[in-house]
Amino acid sequence: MRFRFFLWSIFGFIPILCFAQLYSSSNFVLENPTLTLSGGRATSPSFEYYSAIGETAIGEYTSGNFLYRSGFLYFPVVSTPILSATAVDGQVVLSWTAASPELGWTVSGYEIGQSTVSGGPYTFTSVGNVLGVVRSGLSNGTTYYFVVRTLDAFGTVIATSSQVSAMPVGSSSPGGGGGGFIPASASVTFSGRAYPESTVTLLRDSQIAVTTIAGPDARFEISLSGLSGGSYIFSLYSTDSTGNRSASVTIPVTLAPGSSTHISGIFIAPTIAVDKSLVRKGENIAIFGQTAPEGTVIISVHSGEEFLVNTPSDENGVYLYNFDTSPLELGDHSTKSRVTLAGEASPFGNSVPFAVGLTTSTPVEERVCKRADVNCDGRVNLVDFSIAAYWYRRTLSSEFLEVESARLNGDGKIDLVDFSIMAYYWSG
Amino acid sequence: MFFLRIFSFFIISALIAVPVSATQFYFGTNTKELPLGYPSEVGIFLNTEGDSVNAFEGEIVVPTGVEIAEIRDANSIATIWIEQPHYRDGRVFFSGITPGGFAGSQGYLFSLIAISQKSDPVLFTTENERVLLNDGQGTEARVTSGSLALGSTLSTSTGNVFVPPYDTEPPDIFVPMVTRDTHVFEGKYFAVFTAQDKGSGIWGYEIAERRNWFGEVKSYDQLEWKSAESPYVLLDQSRKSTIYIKAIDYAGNERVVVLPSRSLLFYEQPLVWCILGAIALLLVLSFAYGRYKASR
Repeated sequence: MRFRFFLWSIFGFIPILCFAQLYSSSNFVLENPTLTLSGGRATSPSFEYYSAIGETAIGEYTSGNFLYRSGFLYFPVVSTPILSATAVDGQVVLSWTAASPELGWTVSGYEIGQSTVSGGPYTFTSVGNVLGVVRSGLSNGTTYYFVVRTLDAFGTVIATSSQVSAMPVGSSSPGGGGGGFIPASASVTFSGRAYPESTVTLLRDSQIAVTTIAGPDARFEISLSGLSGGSYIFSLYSTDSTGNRSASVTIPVTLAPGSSTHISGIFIAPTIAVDKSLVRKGENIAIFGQTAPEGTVIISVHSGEEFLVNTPSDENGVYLYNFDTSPLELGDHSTKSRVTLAGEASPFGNSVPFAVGLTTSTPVEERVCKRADVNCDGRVNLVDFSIAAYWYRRTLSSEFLEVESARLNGDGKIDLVDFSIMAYYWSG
Repeated sequence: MFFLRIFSFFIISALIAVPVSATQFYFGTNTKELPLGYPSEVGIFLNTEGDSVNAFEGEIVVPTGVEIAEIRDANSIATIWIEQPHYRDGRVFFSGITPGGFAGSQGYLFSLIAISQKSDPVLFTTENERVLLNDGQGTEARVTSGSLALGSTLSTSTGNVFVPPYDTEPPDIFVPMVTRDTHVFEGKYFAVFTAQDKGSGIWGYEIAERRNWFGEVKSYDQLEWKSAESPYVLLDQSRKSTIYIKAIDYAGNERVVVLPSRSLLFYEQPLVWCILGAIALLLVLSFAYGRYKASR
């Protein structure tokens, strides 16, 4: 490991020193870097490189304030918050999902931008590290536009949500005539990006509420009306052109009776698959899937250390990366992906396992019954839950032991872990 | 009003919540003193500290001298209960899941409607908590216990006495399913169902099976309803009966959904047998009439 790091240090920097090679990533370009080994900093016209790796003596290559990851260009990423706005009398209730930072960023808080003009300019107000706020003193009948910005530990903006709009309306009093008060129903609209012409499914409290088809640009919009006022757990997922299902995006929402809520900026994570379940060390493994067209897909290969690579998605949203397994240790690994496009970033999607070995690779076996699909009908829903619940805290029959072993966690019993697996793969 | 009630309960509860660095169950109330002899609401919440979690279970130790009159779960993040929160031997047991996961600091689970019968301070605590991450592996999250100390008061005021929410809306529309599986109930058909009610919460379910030989029932009151839980093994395993499932909320509002019987084969249709019977009767009569005419 140390030797490998030493090689990285030497051979990773030689080209920079000798050829002033240009390096780039999705969010910066490193031009004409110079590296000083005499205790100074590596600089370029546009940045300073702190904690530079320099081998000043054999064995001296540690730092107390950074973490070394493979690859010279290492960059933090953060998912974009999903913002929802619910208009009530003279107020708009805003809530958003937490931005999930990775690789170094820490979210310290959020700012709300407010405008009466679509697209801004917005007036920003810091609201602290919270996931909801009520904007009051607003004029009924006026449309307001909001965005939420994520701040890092230094107060720098690292992500901005899509814009949502809301128009406060005066509360309607129940009519006279002696009839009972009938609360007005609420509606909610979800919009965002999935995959080109893919099916997007919306679950309301774990049951399928509606499905729609995304456009060729992967954008979708789903509306649901006739809802009671109250708190809901909405989940969305998409299915790509090969039938592979995305990870779910879950959005808890509290709806006021009669309100209309818009939730925008949903960015469904890419689907992912690999062409081998076992690959010989040094050979390539193809990592592929589907996402929004012409985005930058960030693929993470997780093992002892994390490897990050970028690849573009084509006009159909399809991406493919042939990953060289040479740097990977023998053993089990996994890969997952996320996408950035036009300033928005999806969260990481499902993780796919594979192994690196010494022998020949084998193709990925298509499972007849997918994970958590207890009754093998292609769905994970209340039926599978009920079958598993039947065996909850009971001794499993020999037949069901095989099912539990193949499709759940395989510990020979049905407990909370099996239901957690089921909840993760839930399709409604 | 309903919206404000939800928000005020959550916001005040948040004030009582203790900041944590791991997933934690915590309690929330609108009051710091339980009114002696009157019902008061004690909410149980989950703070996931940024993690996405999808399964949770635990026990609430109810202090002696406190009676649990009801347990309500309207607007819970637990959309499906493995074990519906229930009181037994001084403890409330619960176990549930949130398909798709939940991440947040104020994940409302359910409320105890508690009546204090003693004037001493009381302490609610949680025990045997488990929370699992929404990672497809069932990885355990680090959990810390919650507790809530409350005093008692002889005075009653708005806020500290539980008033059932005004609820005129029936439970939300739900979609039951009928299925069978070789691994459960000896392969018999069973119905699965779960409903949500955002106003007062689901009180229970009733089910009725009826063979509608001559059309749909005109009123649901004509049906023989019986209390039921999901999963429910059907009485009519031939699936010739229409199944009616009623969800009832705490305010008494009802929602009935109907599952039609399976498509009957032509010889299973009562109307076909009526027509065949009529034809047979006509043939017998005409034959008898012919014999009668011949005999004369």
